[in-house]
Amino acid sequence: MTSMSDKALLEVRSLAYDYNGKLAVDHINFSIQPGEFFGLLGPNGAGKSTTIACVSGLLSRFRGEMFFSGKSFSPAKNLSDRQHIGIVPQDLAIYEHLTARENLQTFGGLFGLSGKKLQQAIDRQLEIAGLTDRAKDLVKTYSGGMKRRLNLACGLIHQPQLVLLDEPTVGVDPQSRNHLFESLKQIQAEGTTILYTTHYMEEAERLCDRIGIMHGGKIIAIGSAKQLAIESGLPNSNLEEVFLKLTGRSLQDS
Amino acid sequence: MNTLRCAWLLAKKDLRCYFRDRGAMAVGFLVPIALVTVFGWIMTAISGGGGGGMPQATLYVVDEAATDETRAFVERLRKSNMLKIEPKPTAKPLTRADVEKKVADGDTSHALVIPSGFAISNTAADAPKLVMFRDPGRKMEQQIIQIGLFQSALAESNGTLWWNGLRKSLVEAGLTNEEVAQIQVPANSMTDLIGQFLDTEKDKQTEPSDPKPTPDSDAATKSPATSAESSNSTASKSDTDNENEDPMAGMMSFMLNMVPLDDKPIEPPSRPRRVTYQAAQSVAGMTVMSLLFALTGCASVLLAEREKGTLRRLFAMSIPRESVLFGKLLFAVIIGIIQVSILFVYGELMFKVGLFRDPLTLSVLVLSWVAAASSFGMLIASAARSSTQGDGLAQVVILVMAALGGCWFPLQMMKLPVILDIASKSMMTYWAMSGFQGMLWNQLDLTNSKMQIALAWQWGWALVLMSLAIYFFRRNYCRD
Ligand SMILES: Nc1ncnc2c1ncn2[C@@H]1O[C@H](COP(=O)(O)OP(=O)(O)OP(=O)(O)O)[C@@H](O)[C@H]1O
Ligand SMILES: [Mg+2]
Repeated sequence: MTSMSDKALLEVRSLAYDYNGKLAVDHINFSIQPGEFFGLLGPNGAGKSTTIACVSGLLSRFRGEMFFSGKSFSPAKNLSDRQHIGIVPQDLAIYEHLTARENLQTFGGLFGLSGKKLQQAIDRQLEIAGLTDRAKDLVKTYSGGMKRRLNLACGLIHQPQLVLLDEPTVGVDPQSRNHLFESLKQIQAEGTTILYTTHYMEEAERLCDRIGIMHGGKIIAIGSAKQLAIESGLPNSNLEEVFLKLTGRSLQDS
Repeated sequence: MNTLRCAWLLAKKDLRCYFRDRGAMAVGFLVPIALVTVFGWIMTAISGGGGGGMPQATLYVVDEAATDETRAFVERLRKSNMLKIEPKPTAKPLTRADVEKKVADGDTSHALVIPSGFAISNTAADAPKLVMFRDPGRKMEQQIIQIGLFQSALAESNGTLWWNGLRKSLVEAGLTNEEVAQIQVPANSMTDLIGQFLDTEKDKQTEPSDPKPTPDSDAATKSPATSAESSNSTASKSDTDNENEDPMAGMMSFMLNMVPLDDKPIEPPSRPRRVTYQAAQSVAGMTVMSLLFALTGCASVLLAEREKGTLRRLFAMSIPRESVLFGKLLFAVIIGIIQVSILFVYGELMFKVGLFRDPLTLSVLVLSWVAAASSFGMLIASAARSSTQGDGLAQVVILVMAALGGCWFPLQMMKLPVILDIASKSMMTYWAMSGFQGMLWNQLDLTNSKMQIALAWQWGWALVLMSLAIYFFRRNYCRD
């Protein structure tokens, strides 16, 4: 079977996932175009992380179909499908007793990079993260912001086409957050596609080309911030009010 | 990318982290060294002081005479609290060659043969004597067995043994037979006294609280020296080093010489001169136990990675999930080999136990135990719900396995109930100890069947534990 919209980098069709019979993701559909910055916005428990885990191959028991560049995509079973994906976990998933370079070496090596290609990829990521000068220091000596940047760099080391970020700004100070946003805009400018989850309205509005609003495992609306406002009949309102109208609740209660 | 390359990349990462983490390094390398040192000293001190608690020694007995008297004597030996007589009455009796081999192989430290024609009360110079095959380094057991043997022989001979021994000494001291006969009556009452002493005071063997035997033993110790029997003087020679320090030793050799015994020490020719049984025991015991701790610690990095979230990242990479488990196994094995090497070089410098005499046997033993111990660690790491649970569980299980397997104290010295004995022999630590002791003390190599059995048990355990680890890993780490 092939994808309907051959243009899409990732197409998710009728994706559903349940934990012990309780539906966490309830037959959602969305597609992300190449180079697009796509956001999933929703309160706690909406099913954002579960969706990301299905796309990244961490969960295998999902129903529905996924397509990557028009081809059937099953990252949980097919290891080579994961080559296209980079994940940036919310928690710092880096090794404190290694240097930045060694962290990148390890993750790059595990993605099959070696030799000169690996060295080039490492140098590039160190530069983007602004860590070239500190590359030989142990990560445990880094500031929180530097760790965040390395955490991102480790997900990008194999130059994936699609990067998945699951609430990367939770508990991050404003300065690091800004640096992260700049880095993300930069990799987007270089052609990388981004799937980003958040429950912060401003972030979604500021970063995303298109937003899927998630609630109770369902995507209840999809479009740019502007489109969503118009479609919900509140053309001059912000996303917060749109969300309230669509769900009857504020984003903060969960 | 293949599983092996992934495993190596992951192991390399863990090794780097390990060697950068000074705390982990200290626990991994210094603690075992401290343990070896402390236990080495304690064990050596205990062996010098005669042992505490209620020691028991195993003695293999072959009754070639098979008369009513010798059978009764064997029964009497079985009743002794200090002796554990083998084989059991229901088991197939062994031959002299069997027990001699057992001592040579280190299966037992002492074996007694009652030759045909032997009679306890017959002390004629040409009468058949008991034959004792023994490991001369096992002084603790030797002392226990001497007491047990004397006690039983004394009881079985209805006092004639005591009297005959004394009479012999007195005649040798220049008394006539008539003069000796006059002393018989008081001597018999002393027999009863000594009998009581041995029955009631056996928990206090190290304290010669009964002053009466002392003057007699002073006189009597001279007798074996002047005795015409060469074998008896061999026996007393092996005790002379104890005589000056230990007031009990004089009496001991007197007693021993009253039991007509042909003493035959069997010692592997390659055993280093300075090695003591206790040093070998400590080095082996502490190595076995600290490897278990260290390798379980290595494996628990898996749990830590799960808790920290790095495992999620690894699982999202294009590598098979099992390679993460094998990476940890490889990491543990490498750390194990490094740790053993350091520990053994140290142990060798400290205790001179002759560790590097047979590098092939040593390597195979180390590898087998590293395999079994890492598999145990892998099982804990893949079955535990959290690192706290894993650590707690591992500590309890390791301490039990170490104690039951004989890592702390030579179990041959304890009177173990059957259940405990079975439990002990089913521990993988028991077989690791058996292998290391076989190499260090009995100087056995891989061609020896006892060593092969010890290795087979360890690999069997490694296989079972690793299979379980893979099962739990698939269940707890590879399912949604
Ligand atoms: N391992 C799990 N076992 C059982 N239920 C789970 C598990 N993980 C998530 N859930 C449930 O599935 C639903 C969706 O959870 P999910 O983590 O995907 O939401 P989320 O949108 O990422 O929320 P948050 O903003 O809090 O991260 C929730 O109701 C949650 O309780
Ligand atoms: Mg989440």
